[in-house]
Amino acid sequence: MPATSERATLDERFERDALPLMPELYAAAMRLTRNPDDAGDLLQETYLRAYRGFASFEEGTNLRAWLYRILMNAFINIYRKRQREPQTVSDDDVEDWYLYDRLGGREAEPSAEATVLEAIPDEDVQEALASLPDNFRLAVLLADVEGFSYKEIADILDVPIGTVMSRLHRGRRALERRLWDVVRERGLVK
Amino acid sequence: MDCEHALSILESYLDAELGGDAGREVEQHLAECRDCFSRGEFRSRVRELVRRKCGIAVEMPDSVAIRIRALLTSPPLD
Repeated sequence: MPATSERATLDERFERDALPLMPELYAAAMRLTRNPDDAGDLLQETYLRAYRGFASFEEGTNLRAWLYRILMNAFINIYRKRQREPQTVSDDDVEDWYLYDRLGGREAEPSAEATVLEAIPDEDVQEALASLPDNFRLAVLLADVEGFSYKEIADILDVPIGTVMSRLHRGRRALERRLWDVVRERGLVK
Repeated sequence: MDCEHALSILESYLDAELGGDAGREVEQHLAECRDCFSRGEFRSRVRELVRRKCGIAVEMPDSVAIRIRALLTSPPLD
């Protein structure tokens, strides 16, 4: 434990820098857990861990990424123990241009392809993303939804950049595969 | 740059992770190749769709913030 005066300075910095990010982290927790009670619990655990470990945060570095790292660890270590992770369904087999080829590629009107994609309900896209194995899901979520760079994602997930790129690539392809299933189930294409 | 090479680094390019010469070469290729351009457009569209449909605004309940603030400011148990 740091000395009292140090702790007071840390508390001030935590209040000033970390607490304002709470609404954003809550939104990320909701996207992970998809349930308000679990999101609240996950955010609480994240902030307790962040508060306890705040002395190890280097001021001036990326606080947002640091908090996301704690959030992701808490999600995987605690929350995932209580529920089953989605099953992997041979995501290795997805062709690179699976969805593109099926939506018509360049033969189709680009606007027709956009209309089909746009017609997929929000919840179905969220469900498709949530159904990916965590490794893929977290990479896609951090890049495409939360807007982090490869380097930031590598820091958050504590893996090399090459691994981030590979998970992103495979995750996006797997997601496209599932979106195609939705398109067909919903009868959005003939 | 041929199509195979361009497509192999297209994802990094669209993620704005490809700087320097490689980035300029992909850009040049996309300007000249209709097929690769169309694939790039498609990938961008899907990514934007995911961002928009999964990234919908979430309002944090006040009760959550209040509870966490109270926990953080309470005296340590030990």
